[in-house]
Amino acid sequence: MADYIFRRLMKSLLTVFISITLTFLIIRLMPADPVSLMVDPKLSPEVQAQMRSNFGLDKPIYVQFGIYIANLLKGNLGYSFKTREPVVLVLLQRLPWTILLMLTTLVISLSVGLPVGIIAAKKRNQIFDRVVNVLITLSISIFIPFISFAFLYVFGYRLHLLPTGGAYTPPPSLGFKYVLDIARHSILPTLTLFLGNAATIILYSRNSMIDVLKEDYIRTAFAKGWNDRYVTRQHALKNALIPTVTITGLMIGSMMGGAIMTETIYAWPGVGRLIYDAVSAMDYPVLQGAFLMLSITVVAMNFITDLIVAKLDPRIRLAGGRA
Amino acid sequence: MSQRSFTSTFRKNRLGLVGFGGVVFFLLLGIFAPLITSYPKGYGTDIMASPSFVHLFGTDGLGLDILSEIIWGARTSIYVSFIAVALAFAIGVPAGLVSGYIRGFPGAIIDTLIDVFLTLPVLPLIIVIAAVVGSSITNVAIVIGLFSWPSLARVTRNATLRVTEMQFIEAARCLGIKQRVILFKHILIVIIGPILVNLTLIMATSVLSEAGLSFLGLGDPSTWSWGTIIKKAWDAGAIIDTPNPYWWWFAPSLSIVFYVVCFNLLGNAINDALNPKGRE
Amino acid sequence: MSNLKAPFLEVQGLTKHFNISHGLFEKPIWLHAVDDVSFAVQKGETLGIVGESGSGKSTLARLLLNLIRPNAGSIKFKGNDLLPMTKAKERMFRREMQMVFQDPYASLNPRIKIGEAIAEPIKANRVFEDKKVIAARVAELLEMVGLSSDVAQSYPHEFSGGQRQRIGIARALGVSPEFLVCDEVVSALDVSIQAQILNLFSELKSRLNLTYIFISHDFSVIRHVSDHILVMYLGEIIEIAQVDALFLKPLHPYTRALISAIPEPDVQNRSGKIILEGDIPSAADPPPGCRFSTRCYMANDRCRLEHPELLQYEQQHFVRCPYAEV
Repeated sequence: MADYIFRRLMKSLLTVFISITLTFLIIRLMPADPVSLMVDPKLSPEVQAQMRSNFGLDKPIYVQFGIYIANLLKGNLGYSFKTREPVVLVLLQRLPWTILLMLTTLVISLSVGLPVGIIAAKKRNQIFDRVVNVLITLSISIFIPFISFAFLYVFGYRLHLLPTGGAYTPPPSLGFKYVLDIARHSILPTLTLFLGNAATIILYSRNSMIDVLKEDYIRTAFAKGWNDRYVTRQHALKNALIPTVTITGLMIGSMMGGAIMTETIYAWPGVGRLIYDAVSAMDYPVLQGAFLMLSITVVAMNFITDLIVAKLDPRIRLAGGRA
Repeated sequence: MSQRSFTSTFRKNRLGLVGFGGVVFFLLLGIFAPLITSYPKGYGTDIMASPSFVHLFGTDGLGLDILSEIIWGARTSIYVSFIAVALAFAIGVPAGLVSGYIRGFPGAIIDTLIDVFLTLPVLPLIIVIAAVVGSSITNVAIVIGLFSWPSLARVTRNATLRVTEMQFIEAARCLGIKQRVILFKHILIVIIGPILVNLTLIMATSVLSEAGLSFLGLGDPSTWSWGTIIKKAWDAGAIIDTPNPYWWWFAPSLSIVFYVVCFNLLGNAINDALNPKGRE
Repeated sequence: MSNLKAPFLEVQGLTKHFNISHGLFEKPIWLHAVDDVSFAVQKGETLGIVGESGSGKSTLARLLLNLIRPNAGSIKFKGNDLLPMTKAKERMFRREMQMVFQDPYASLNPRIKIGEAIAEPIKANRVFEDKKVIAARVAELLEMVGLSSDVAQSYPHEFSGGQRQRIGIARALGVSPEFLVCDEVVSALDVSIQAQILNLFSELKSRLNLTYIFISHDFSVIRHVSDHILVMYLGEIIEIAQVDALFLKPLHPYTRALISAIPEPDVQNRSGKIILEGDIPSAADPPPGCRFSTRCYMANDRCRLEHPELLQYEQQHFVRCPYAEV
């Protein structure tokens, strides 16, 4: 298991390093003038020159890379063109909201998706399963703005049931009322994100459950006279869980993409909405910083998922860990 | 698996045929768009008119016919899909073949790269790149294609790993067949099935990505795409209007969903036809 | 082995160990697939290699055909050192030495037509360039193995195991090799078909003046086709002899046990079977001393501690057991 954890850790670090390098290269190797992407052209010429030398834009590329890494380690991600604030601060302000949204979605997707998938597997080809399959195909094809618009229109404007945007209704209240307010505001965004994710989870848990149920050792358990519930819980569940948790890890990256659009439409104050605003304002430092921060978050969440899989999968726990 | 049993299994799959038909429909729509309707531009007379015989899908905030916009949007979607698929195939398949066949260092490096790119949040990266390179439709398509290769490479690699151990590949080596030929002929023709399935998926998701990018403002303002139509509706506040010009954002959204669903159905049908004993 | 003429194929000290441990932090575990194997084959003869699964015979076949690289040892073909292998040597080598594989259902690419499968090595090794010449050669090969030349337009799945094996033979013969390694070529076939295919092999041998290495776990098959026999156990050669000498006077206890196990249809000729106790030890952890000592019915302490050498007993009869005479 130590072997497995070590290798996953190395891979995580490598991924972060590649994100960092990509961000660096994009700005400096793209056709656009790197200077205008890093130094706000609206600043006065003296300040521009100062910043130019700070970033080492006149020096060879590997020196620039060194400066870049050094800055990163100091937590310096540059300054927003729009607000002149340090990018790090802006990001750290918004990140918790995004994480809240993603975690909530993940938890709900898993709690709903897993049981549905398992039941669909057990009732293979019956009505329940067929309906589920249709829903899956539709959900995977979902275009987030479409669903969001529909929700907003129905729940927000027609029925006036749920708020139409933001994370809370200003001014922010205190204590429990605050939490409730946020919860109310988070229903629609979570629901929107949930649809795509749950579909993938249902698909994978159903398929891995079907595969497990076909195995000989399950037939043996039934032949021994063990009842359905017990067999499902003890044997099948755990083994079907492993591929599902693995796919959840992979999904986190694409969930980020969905989060960007969801946050934009619902004006949820997370990093996704920040990216939208940054694109409109051509605020490149914020864009780069956001990508970097999202990458690190995704890598961290993936690593945690890998640890969970390692704990669940006895093949990894006991053996040299070739998984 | 012979050609005949694949085709007959495929033909029995009704949903698959629907998907196939839909894909062909969009292809024709996109290719022949200039012949079907004129390119929407400028202003129209009826602003935000609801669907009628003259304007089957109604008109938008500038009075332009939405049906025409949709048809030209189909053209963009086909264009993006094909570029994405071409790039993914050109990069992903060789990468998967090589990393699955050659053990040791080069294979492990490619595999690690695939893993890294599958983990990264791709859309934010595409957004950053698109923001920097500018938003012509070709640029967008190329960027999307460049990031579609990892999933194809993974599928190719897994399939290659299974096939490499088989005796007919060992025989090919023994008979003096060159490595390049073994990879791109002997192995590829055996694993082309799952690759095709993944290609249909890429065609679907590339359009979703393009629509998302257009919606966020990174699309090509001079081309009609379904995402751009939705963005214009959003910008004009059409979502929250009452009475709501729902046709404005319904039509492009449904087009996107229909496009993606058709490709998914096609991919599923190909997959099922390849594994007749698979999971029912 | 006769020293009168230079051997066609000469193998010395061939060794292959596989590392079967995984993970970054594990010590290597070496699987002794083939250990210090030496033998020679004369032109025009058939060397039979017999052994159970795990004996290393398949690994040996792959070492001979450069599908695996050995850890140590040399291979000389027609007096030329094949190792270390170079591109130029390989080009020549593939046209001289070929292999027919075991599983007729797995040794042909299911998506490639028969004609193409046979023509491909001919093209790849530049035997012929002209399309018409190649097509004629393909037809010739098919007829040689007893199939109609129409077969070329079909796919493998349309044929039975025996027919597919014939196709495999035709494919191997395309480059006109002088040496053929036959790895368990009839083991996957029905018994009634086995005889046909074995007859085809002997017919081709005399017609094309071939030299064979014939690998099998089936002693009666080996007896039928071989001039000399090599018996392997856990990666080592434990006995080499001419075929008649081996059956007349099997020396090694393992050989004796295997021969006694051959089903004998004639009730009068049946003698007591020697049943071997114990399991085949793992080749990853071969016992010190004689590798057969864990199952040998006459093993003593010396056997378990001292690793026996391959010693000459008679002209052309070698055995790896100090108590062979008993």
